[in-house]
Amino acid sequence: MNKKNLFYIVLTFLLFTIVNVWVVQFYDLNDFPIQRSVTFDEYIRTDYLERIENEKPEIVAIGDSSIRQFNDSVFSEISGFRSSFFSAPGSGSAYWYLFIRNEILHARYYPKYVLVFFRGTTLTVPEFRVNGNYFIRLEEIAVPKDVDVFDKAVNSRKNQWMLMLEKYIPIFAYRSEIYFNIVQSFRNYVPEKILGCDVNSIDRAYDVVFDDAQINDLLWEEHLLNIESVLYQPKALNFIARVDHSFLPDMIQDLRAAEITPVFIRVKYRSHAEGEKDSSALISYLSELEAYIEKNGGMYVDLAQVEALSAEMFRDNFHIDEDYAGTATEIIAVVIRNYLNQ
Amino acid sequence: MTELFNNWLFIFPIFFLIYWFSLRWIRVNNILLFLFGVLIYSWGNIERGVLLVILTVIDFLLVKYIYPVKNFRKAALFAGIFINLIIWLFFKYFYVGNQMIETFSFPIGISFYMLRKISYLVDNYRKPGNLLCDFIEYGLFVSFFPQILSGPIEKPDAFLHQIQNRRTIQLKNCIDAAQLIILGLVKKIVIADNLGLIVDRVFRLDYPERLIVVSGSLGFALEVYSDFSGYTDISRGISSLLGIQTAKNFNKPYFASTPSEFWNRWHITFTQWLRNYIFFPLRRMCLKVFSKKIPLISDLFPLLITMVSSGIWHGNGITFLVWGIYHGLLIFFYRLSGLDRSRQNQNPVMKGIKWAAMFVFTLFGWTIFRAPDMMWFFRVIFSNQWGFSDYALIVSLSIISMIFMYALPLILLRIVELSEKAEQITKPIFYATAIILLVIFSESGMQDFVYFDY
Repeated sequence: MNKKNLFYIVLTFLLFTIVNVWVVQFYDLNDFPIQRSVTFDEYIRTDYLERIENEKPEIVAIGDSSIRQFNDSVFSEISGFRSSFFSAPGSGSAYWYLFIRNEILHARYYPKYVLVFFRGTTLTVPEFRVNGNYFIRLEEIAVPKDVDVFDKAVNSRKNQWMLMLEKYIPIFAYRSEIYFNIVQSFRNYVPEKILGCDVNSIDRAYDVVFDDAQINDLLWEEHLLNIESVLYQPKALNFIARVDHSFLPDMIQDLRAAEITPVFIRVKYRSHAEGEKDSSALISYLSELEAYIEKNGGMYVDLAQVEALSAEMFRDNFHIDEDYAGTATEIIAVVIRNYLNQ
Repeated sequence: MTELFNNWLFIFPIFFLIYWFSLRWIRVNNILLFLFGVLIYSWGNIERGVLLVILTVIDFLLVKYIYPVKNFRKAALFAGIFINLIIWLFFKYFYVGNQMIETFSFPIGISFYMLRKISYLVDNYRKPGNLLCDFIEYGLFVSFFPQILSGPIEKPDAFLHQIQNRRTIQLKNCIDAAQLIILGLVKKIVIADNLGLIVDRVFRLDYPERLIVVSGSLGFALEVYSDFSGYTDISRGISSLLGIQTAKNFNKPYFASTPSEFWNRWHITFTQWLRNYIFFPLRRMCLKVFSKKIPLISDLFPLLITMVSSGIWHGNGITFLVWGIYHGLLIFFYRLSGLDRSRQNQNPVMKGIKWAAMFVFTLFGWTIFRAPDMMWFFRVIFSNQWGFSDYALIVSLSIISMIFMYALPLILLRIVELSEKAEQITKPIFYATAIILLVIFSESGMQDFVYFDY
């Protein structure tokens, strides 16, 4: 190796070390190996739990943005069960399990039923929606003792090399924070300097310009379908292979142990209402899922089969239109009431 | 994904070791590379690999057995081109949304390997006996794994010549290759993937203010360049590790002052392909048919057809077609007005104006290219607001600020290139910084921080 190449390597190593030392200083790291990839932090939000304790619902419903338009009071009135809906946009099965474990089962009052609204194979894909900002959402309802959830949802996405690098290289362990800080500072720099805007007005500007109402429905749907495609890969559709690695057994077991009946409700897409059929692999997955849930003491409801939820009630492929929120809630409440009364 | 990554993490080093240890046996090297290329390409989707091999066999048999028969030479050439084009068009235009065909996984990279196959068919027709090779060598030319997904579109003679000779790999090649791979990864992971999130947001808006579109197009210009040239750098780096030097595909395209210069700097191998296999033959034909009596036809027609082909090759929407026509007309008008002639000792101010004008034209072209549809584009041009006085201005400035941030690695690279003697110090600093950036941004493009509210 000639001097030039040696110089290359030494300089690279030196710079790399300097940056790592900076990270150690900046984030005030005391532990080595770094304990970042082990579990969640201490903070947990308690307003969900307080709401359950205050409202004392017989039904607690959880799901992602697809249940955002459902109306608690309409649902309670029609179904005959006092109900509280918790819609967490961008949530997946890891979030729902943490919600059950740390909010519902920690409340002084237990509901009779927990409704989990899901789509596709979400229940058996624990690593769906756990990275980036989705992780921030998980952190809100998780505590350090949820190390098992962390492993199943977050660490299962990483290979052994990544876990090792996160333990021993500070810059790798803190890459998300550093990235976020760099992007944020550049994002705000020019508007701050030229227009004198503060961070709040820049955030507001982003909210207004990229508001939901400004986005082209078709392109938005295409994007969402793209994100969701992971749920319909052959690997995800293999129920038997996936179930033991998912949160489904934990959800059923924990709820049953507290004498709460879990009800898993598959949401309907607009495409279903327009006549699109499920693939044979998904049909087979869903029948195995149904059999598993019922065998273990849960209930399974498939809203895709409910004809009354028609295509015009949807804003896009996944979400109910605001104008039809009441009607859709009534229809779903009737369906669920009939199941629960069976 | 993790499982797949872990598998390849081990398979690649093993493959390279076996390959390097067998360098003295050219044929073993070629067989290894060919099989490895087909294996990677077919991984998880065997039908893709089967299609690739079948199409390769067809070309090879045509050239080997039908070309020598004088009366069938032309027919064999057209048959070969027809088969390749029809399969490509079939997948390009009838695949998406067709549930019957969608069970067959999409042959990714077909747009690239199809062009390589056609150039082999045509070059063999033009110069019989000039491209002698056996099936493995031809198969390797088509399925060469660093190039199969996104080029460069290598010329058959340059590639075949290299694989028919013993390859040597020296430490210097490995260092150069590592630099290319690092640079490519920075362009792809740090710049393109992150800019893609911003650009997608802009082009998903129904009625964006023009200022927002301008900043989005600026972002797209950088994204598309970084994405494509990043892939090329990685491909060239890996090829170099295999002892094969492949063509440079980009040469600072946004420094161009005329459309012709832009196309000589942008996706160079594709431009050369278009020139050799579409433009020149068409122009020759036009000159023959119309002689020079109707210069407009013999100048404009081949140019438009070539650029329309370029548009069609890039995508299957009307916007790509219009983008192709736009660039065809742009080249034509520059030629017609004499603006494309390079003048020595030109005033630097004029040079600057020419460059700025070309950059604006290029950006305009990218807006057409990236627009969701032509109605959207027309809305932006004719009816949307500029947005100078409201939130659009804040967001535009913010986006431009982020574009500048993502452009920084490329600006630093340019400084390194210009630093001459100091390059000995600036270059290692640049690559060390690049590695640090890669570590920091390693997962960023995958983070859906933008699309949280869903």
